[in-house]
Amino acid sequence: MLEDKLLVWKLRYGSRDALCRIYEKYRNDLLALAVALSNDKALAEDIVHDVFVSFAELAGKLQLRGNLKSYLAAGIANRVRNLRRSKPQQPVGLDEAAVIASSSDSPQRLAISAEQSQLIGSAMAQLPYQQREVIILHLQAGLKFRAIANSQGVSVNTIQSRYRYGMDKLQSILNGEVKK
Amino acid sequence: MSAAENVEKLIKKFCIAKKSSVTTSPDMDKRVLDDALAAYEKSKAKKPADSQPFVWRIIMKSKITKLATAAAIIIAVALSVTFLDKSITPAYAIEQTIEALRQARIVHMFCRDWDGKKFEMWMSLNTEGYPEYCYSYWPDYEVTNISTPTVSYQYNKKMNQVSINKGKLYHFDIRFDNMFENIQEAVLKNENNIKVYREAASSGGKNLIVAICEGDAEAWKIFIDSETKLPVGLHCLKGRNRPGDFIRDFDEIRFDEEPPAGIFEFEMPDGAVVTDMDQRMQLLDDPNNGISAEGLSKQQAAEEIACEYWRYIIEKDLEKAKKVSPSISLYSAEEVEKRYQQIFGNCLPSEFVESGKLYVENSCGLGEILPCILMFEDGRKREAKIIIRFRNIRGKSSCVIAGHYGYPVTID
Repeated sequence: MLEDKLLVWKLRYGSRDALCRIYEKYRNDLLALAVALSNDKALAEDIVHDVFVSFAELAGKLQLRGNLKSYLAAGIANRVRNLRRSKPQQPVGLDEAAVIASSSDSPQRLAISAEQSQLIGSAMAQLPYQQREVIILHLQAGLKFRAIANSQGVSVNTIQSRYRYGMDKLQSILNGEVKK
Repeated sequence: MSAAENVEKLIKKFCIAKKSSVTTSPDMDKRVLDDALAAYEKSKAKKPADSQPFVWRIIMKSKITKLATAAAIIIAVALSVTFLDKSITPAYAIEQTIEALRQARIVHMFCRDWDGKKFEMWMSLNTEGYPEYCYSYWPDYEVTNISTPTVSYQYNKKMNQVSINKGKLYHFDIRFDNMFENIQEAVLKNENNIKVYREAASSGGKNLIVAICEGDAEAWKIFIDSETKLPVGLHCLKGRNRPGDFIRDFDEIRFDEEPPAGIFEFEMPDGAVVTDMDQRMQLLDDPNNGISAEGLSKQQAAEEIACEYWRYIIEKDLEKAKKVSPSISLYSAEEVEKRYQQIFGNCLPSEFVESGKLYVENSCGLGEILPCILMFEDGRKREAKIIIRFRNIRGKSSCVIAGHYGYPVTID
């Protein structure tokens, strides 16, 4: 956190190194977030590109109220939302969701079974976008509800409701499997 | 550990696994950093942009504002209903409805306000769902509003009066999804009070999903086209305390019709009295105008300025009236006289009897409303509402009269 403040301060005073460091620090998290929200790796790369270039353009007059990570994550979420608005949206089919869910082979992934991963991926794909977005921002990007609410200009209660409704729905979809 | 906690833990594990599996490629890193550094250098070379000139951004008084809000409410309710309508529509219907609404670029509506007055609206939406160009017409009042990104007009044909302001007639930061959060949440919370059924439209035989959403304070009946998932009508059955509650009934909503040519253009009528609303706002926010509200409650300050205002109006002392109601300065003495004649008719107020309680009217963004009971020359009492605008300028609280709200109503 302190490092971020220092980086932002340096950035405001013209440090190219600070910009590179910020990118290196958050690039994978931002890309993972964009992939999770957009379900499209190529599109996610473009989203990260656009958000980071916009961030660089504004860097000189950046005045962060929260933390840098939340700021960038909110930028990704806003960008995905805008793209969803401007383009006809293809609903994520269960088959497609399963492919997304099983596209990783990392050691961490092995902590949950392939079957569970596929089920969760499918269940997530069935959530309304707003609920899925809150769940991903909270559990994957680690954003607090207040930060999500601030970035979207809605109340914390709304965000918590979306999260709760989303989790309830996931629970009802996964119920049988979780109890096993 | 509860089942809910188990699921949350599982989802978290899933999210973390997904997160750790994604990494950027060297090609992507190069592309992003090259472009970001170029953008960074370019922005450093630029001077900070000059602050924007004063723009009147809070004309919530405008009917167009409420038009946008109302449209948002339609969308909100539609979304909520679709969400709750599990028995009729598949899960994907929510997304389909959202997308259908977001794809809409032209909305044509036939509505009624709370007085039952009919009006027609056309809206052109931009890609983000913001109303870009708007037109509305109240045949009973002969009022036309036209809002465009650069300049907007409010034309009262009866008074031959045109108000002009820079930019749109509403706060341009309004986003539909922000605006409908509350109603969406309210409807979701009242899931048990929603009845959903199908019925054929009275004309055309279209198959409709009908939803009646009843909360403690409000109730709505919404008609959704079961084929397109777009809302085609909406009626408020109870309550009127939402932003946008100005519109009681959306009798008909049509999407993506071709608007009549030139509908978003305005031609200045001959001899019209023109008010520069931006100038009006400057006058209202000028600390030299109005009265001090230091040490007074809002109600006390409102009553004090109302007393002064009505005294000057009754005594026909326009110079003093300008101090408390600075908009008067925008007109010539003849125009002011004509304006008051239009408001009061041939019978002028003779005595300010008492004031009511100050309140906030969602449809008025200029200030709070103070009802005033007046005795008129014909011996009858009428209620006239005035808009009190409170300011805090350089730490000093004060207020001005921003104008009249509606026309006087005879009360006995």
